[in-house]
Amino acid sequence: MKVVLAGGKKITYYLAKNLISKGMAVTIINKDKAFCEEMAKTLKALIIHGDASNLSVLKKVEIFDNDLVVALTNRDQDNLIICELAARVLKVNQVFSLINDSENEQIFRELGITNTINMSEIFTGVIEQRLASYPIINLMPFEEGKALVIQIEVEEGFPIVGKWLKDLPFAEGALVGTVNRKGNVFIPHGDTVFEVGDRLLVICLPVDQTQTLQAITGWD
Amino acid sequence: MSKRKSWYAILIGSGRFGARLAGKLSNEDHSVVVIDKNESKFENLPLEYTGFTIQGDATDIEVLKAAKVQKADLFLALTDDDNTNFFVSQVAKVIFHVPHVISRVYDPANLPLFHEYKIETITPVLLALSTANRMLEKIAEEEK
Repeated sequence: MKVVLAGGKKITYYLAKNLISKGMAVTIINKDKAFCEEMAKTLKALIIHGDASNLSVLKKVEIFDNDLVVALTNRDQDNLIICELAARVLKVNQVFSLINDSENEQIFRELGITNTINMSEIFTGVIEQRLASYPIINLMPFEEGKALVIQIEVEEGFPIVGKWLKDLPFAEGALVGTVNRKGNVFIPHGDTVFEVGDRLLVICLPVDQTQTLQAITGWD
Repeated sequence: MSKRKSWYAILIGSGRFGARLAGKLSNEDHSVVVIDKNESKFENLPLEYTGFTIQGDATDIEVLKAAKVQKADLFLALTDDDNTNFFVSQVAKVIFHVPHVISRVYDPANLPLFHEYKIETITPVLLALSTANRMLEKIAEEEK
């Protein structure tokens, strides 16, 4: 069994490196001649220079039905035709495709390409999960992401309810900038006591984001 | 004389071929939308063209939705890239159930794939070959 990686640059290289280190036989097909030459020098893989969406190129590789084909180009239409050719014409059982535009995943699925790797969807999911675990109203990066302003509403059960600001286990790199209490906005002092319903603007460094949010919400 | 049914036609690619076909269809009182990634390609459209143009990438499903592809009677994929044509034709046929999907196919080797999905095809190489064949036969006939 071998893994055929069709198209793609960096992702193909790192994927190939991983697979080879696990003892798999890897074949790379790429349109870019310079990339092919570089890969031939650095990887113990069979490198074919050519367009993988061209059936005659795919046929040159001698793909068997128990092989695995992964389409990794940055154009979904190229990935679709690579998968279709591999699955329908070469009868490959295991066909995978990188999805660039997440909306195209449904299209691939309806066309029978069910092994999809939807990069932007995966990232969106991870980010959403990270954010959704806290009752954040707004999170805005400033200074090229080196500073964060987080808007958060104090809910029942938060450990900061009824506590003084100066008693909170905040990191050095975090502070509560303003409090909005029933429409009345003020700047908190060390002896400000937080109430349920307070809306806070918290300023922090990205490294302190998790600790700060945990201190306010008590959530993991 | 009964009036022929007016179609809602969507054409992808406003090159020489797409633009002329769009002109013909709009001349025959069909509703036509031409989509092209490159706005300057709309300059290929003939003066009498009265349909709509949408600048955008037809492989983006939002662009096709903006063109109301679900209402189309006729969908023609006429870009110079077989993979793009295959992709958008598939989307029109399988996702939006457009009754008539026609695609330009440059490489005859790709034809079986298009036909497997019941996409009608126009293959310039084969058309040119058949025209050339007819001419050669005519010459041979005359030389007899």
